[in-house]
Amino acid sequence: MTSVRTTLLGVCLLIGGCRPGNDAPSWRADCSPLARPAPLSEDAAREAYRLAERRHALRLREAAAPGFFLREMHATLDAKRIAAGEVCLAELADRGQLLFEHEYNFPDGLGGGKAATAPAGPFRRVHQGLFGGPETISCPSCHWIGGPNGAGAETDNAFLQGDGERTGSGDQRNPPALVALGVVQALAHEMSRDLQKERADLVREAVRAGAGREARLVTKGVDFGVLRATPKGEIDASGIRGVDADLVVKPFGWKGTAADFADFVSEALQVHMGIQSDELLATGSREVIGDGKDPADPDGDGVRGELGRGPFSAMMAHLALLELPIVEPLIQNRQLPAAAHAFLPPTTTSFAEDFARGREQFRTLGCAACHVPMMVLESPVVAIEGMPPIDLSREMRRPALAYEPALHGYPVWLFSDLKRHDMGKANAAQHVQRGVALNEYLTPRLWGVADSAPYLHDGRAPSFDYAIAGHDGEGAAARAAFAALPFDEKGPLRVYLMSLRREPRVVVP
Amino acid sequence: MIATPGFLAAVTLGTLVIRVPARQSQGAQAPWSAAFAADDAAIPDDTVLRAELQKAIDLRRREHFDRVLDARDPGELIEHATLTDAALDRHILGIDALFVVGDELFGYLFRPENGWGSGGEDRKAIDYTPRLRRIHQGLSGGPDAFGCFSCHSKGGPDGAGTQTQNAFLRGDGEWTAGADQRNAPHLLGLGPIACLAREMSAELQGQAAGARERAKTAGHRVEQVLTTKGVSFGRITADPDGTLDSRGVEGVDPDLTIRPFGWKGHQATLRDMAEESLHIHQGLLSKRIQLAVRDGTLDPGPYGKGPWWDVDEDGVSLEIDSGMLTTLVGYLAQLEVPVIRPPRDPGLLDAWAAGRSRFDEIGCSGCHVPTLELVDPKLDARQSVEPGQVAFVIDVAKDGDGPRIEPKYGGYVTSYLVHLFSDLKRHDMGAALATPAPQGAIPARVFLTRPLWGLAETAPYLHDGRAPTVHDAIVLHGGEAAKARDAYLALDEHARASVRVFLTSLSREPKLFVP
Repeated sequence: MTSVRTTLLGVCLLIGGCRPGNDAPSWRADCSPLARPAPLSEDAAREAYRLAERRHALRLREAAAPGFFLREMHATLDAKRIAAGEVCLAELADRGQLLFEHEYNFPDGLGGGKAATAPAGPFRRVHQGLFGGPETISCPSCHWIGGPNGAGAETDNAFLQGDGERTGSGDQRNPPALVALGVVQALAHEMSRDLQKERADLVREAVRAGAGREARLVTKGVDFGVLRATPKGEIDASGIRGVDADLVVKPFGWKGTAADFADFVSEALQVHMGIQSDELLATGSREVIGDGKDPADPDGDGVRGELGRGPFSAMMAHLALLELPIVEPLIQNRQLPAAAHAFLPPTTTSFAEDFARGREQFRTLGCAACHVPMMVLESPVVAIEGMPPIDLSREMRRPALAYEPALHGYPVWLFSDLKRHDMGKANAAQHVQRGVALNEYLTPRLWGVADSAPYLHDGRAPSFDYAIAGHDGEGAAARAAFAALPFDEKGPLRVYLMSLRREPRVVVP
Repeated sequence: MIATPGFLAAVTLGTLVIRVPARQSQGAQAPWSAAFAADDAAIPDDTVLRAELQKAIDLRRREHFDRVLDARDPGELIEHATLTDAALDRHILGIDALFVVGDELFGYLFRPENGWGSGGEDRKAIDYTPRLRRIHQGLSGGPDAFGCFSCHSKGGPDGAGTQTQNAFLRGDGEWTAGADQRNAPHLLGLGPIACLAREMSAELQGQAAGARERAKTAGHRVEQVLTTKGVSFGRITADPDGTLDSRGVEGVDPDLTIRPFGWKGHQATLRDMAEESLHIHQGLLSKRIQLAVRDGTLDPGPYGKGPWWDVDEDGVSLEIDSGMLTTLVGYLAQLEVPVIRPPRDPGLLDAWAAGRSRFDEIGCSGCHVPTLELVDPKLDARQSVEPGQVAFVIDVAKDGDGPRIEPKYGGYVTSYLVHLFSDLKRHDMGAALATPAPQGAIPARVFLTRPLWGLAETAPYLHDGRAPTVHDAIVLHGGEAAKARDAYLALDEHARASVRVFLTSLSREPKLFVP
């Protein structure tokens, strides 16, 4: 009984404090259900036209009255009402999507200091320390490949923590695709909960026995090393691997530096656009937010309260609901019409056999040891600060979480262990990022990999072969195993990787 | 009875006022709900929608198929994305096929085995990964990208580049400050622009040749005003001995060739622009460059120190054959032209109309000439230079997906209206916008008038993307544009807003696309 209660407490602490039973806010129940047409349907096409028209209308209105959009967002999105669940989640996410697409300008607080009047413009391609750039004006600027909220090109790489001038001084980061962020956060929270329970159990056991104890930390089949406790219950974390000593799994960022994507986003808005959210001002260090005298405008650009909690929550809602990628081998069972006169259409072809062999290779070559294909999520409910918990199985965009009775949970095909690994000197960063060692990176999720080239943290790999060649350190053995395959045998693995894709979706850009 | 509707209206109005949030801006804006209303007016009818959707899906399917095929058998994709010279000679494939193939080439990420990059590293080493160079090294360039679409996707396929995608030209390979930044422009309507430039060059050169003849015949100096399509390019003086004095020429090189490509207007043809871009951004050398190095007609400096068959010493001797360039040019020439999308909101529509007139009144249209008239819309994608080569002609008024340039009816010849908002002429833009150094013979302060069509989707603005909005871009105009800028700044905010609304209506046709 006690341990169950402790666990519950642990969960509650972890997700930022649940209140007992009936008081917990929930989303209002009278919202009209959101139409979510199949991604390639005619209705989806109509929806895409509508969105494009709204975007155009908003752009015209913003041209007429600069700052209009953000003013309206602030005026209509009340953080307290959102926190109490008095708004419709679908509508909130819709506003969040518009905010995600918004192009910030000076009245919005773009940049910092005298950016608005600098004759050479506000942008800084290489970041200056933790304060950042800005180097762009919107989120889709670097998240566009492979569909909405997608990945960035090699040309979009950020140069983190640099000297503001030389590309060589910064750590290059290629923007990853933003898919199923809510699911990832929920998975990581369950893992952290498990690890922390294991720690609590260990301490209790050591104290009870009056002797040193050690335990292997394992959650969802992933081994995070050994934790030791002294008879007094003091913790020795020197044996743990791939996670910080606080045992919080941080699945966001190439180096795994944030447990909640909200944390990541507030920093990204600052370093890439110079937009200071209240979220960031509450927690960010002076190095990150600037050292201006006005606490509401530390970047000193004359705009206070650049992004309040209401609009910020809307963007979090949008990101939380993003869809799951799919695993789908190409089996072309109909001949496509010729695109043009005298142009040979692709024939009907099945890659099912290559897919099956590639899946086997993925395991035998050692890829699957870190790129763990599937994890089971126990609860589809994700806790996001500032709003009631969200049941992703009901609310997220299609393809969505689906319950699998045999697994007693929701399978998530993410192809990662959400653990950090030593990737060798070839991938070493120049700056320690939030305490993460230079050679260490989080196993990137390979879902959707077919639609997110180029690869690796610095985008230097234009195809799978080079991405594999870039694996060093703990990945070197798998790289060698792939390299040792005869030329013809490499095809199936690549075909398998090409089946890890995003569901194609019709848009009007 | 009469008072009742008024009373109801007042109540309704009162309700509205109460609902208008405190932070809402003043002015003629509709409330929030109107700005966010889903407007079905833009949705095409079902038949068109169905056809458009199927086309978008099929294009995506084809691409995915080729990519999977390429995963199994590397090399298939690039092969499917290129028309060979032999195929072009025999005209096996039509112009529409050229578009589909070129589309795939445009989205292809070039790899070292295709000749991407330069240098003699061991590319077979187990840990070899490509080396990007974000800041260009002198004239030899990056490479800073794997694909064309890496910098031409904003606002839709073949769009502009974002601020992060700026190229850092002619730098030292390391420092951002010394390099010459360029924001990638969108690629729509390049076909008509290429044709316009060709016609303008021909007319100017004809005027110069005429002056020379007249000077010879008359035996004294002849001064000739240079004008084409209503744009003045200064004057040229011919002496009886046949020499031309081009000191009075303005906004174009002394050879009177209009070069409409590049922010400073340094390339005359799509083929030359594509060839240069492939070299500096992807480290890919065309066969023409290799042959010119072999023949000693081209300084190999920027390309490398290797033998002519592998000047850039990357172990790949055939990187870009002429068929591939033709594929790319044929594709680009067929791209749609941008359109004007006026606001649907009645209040904004009034502002838009006022903005259109103000655009002329304050002098913007002096350089950003709204419309140039094109006579001959035929473009040879092969830019045939070798005798006997079969041309591959694109009709930029007819081929491709549309929207296309519109015919101007009346008269005995059908000409076409190109609403590009540029005079295709170079101008002095003042000291503040000057580049770190001249580009070839083009001075640091001089730029080509940027065509404004399709502007709405291409923020940030100016050659280096330093202006986040249209307003900032206008304010940063100097030199010859200082008067128009001052005129804009002299307007009240309401009038300025109308100019911005008009500019923001310069957009592209909404189209279905499956990324």
